[in-house]
Amino acid sequence: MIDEGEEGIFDGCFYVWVSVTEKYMSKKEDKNFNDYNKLEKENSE
Amino acid sequence: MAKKIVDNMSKYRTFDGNDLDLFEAYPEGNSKGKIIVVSEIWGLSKFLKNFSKRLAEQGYHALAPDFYSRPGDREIFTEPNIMDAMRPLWTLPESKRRDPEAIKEIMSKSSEETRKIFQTVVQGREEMEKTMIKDIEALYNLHYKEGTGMGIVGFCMGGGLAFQVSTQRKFDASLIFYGASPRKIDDIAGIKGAVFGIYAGEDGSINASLDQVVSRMVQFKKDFEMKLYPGTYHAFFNDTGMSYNKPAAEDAWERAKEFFGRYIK
Repeated sequence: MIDEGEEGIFDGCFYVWVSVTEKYMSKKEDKNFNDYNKLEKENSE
Repeated sequence: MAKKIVDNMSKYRTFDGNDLDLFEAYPEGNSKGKIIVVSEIWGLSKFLKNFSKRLAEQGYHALAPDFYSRPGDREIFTEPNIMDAMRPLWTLPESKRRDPEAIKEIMSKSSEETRKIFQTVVQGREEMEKTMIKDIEALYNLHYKEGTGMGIVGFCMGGGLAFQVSTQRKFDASLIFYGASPRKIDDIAGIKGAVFGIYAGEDGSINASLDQVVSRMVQFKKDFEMKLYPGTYHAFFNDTGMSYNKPAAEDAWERAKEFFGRYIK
């Protein structure tokens, strides 16, 4: 049983990915996942 | 001459009677041993299949289960759907992202797939964790053979699962890429083989418990090594993903090959 407030493997992973994806994807609603190289190029222009 | 690599999709019977899809990659003829490959939250992705093939090129029989292949799950738990389930959370400030009332409000405006994914992965995490661990154990039970080397490797969610299963089953070598530590940290006492943890420097929530991991590894005298890559982010090893860091990933791969080579023969 997970105690309240304790992070599990899944919700921890999910929230880590929310932060990671937000950094690169939040302005790109129509982008596909893994469109990393294209985003990097756009971010550097 | 290098051996030819074979890869294919098969199925295996898991603990609840369902048949899960399984990606296998192995060299023709004999392999050095078997390695269970446990996926990120995205499931059986192109990255995971490619990594399995890389293990096969090193002489191992890689076994990568698709946890999302139960009837009805495959259509919902796709990479785009899981990504879409994360998007609504971007509208909330970080401090509100675990607030049940705030979550309830944004989920009420989300699609059915998004609600299902969130309910399963976040709200139902304990159930999902138990299910996937049992799925891995079922695969292990089918393939484990005394005298044959057995390893496990996992990434992110898969790293956490691999770490937990390594406390419950005998693996010669367990490789953890930026995975959560066992929730009951004293479970580390149950590890029977070698463990190698690979971590990203800028991965605060994953790394927060590493001091406890190290202290338990020392306390229980486990064969443990660790490598942290400063300046890298979570999932830096995934060459199809947003955080890919080529120098760190290439170095980590060299260390991974050496680690498995030492313990799985």
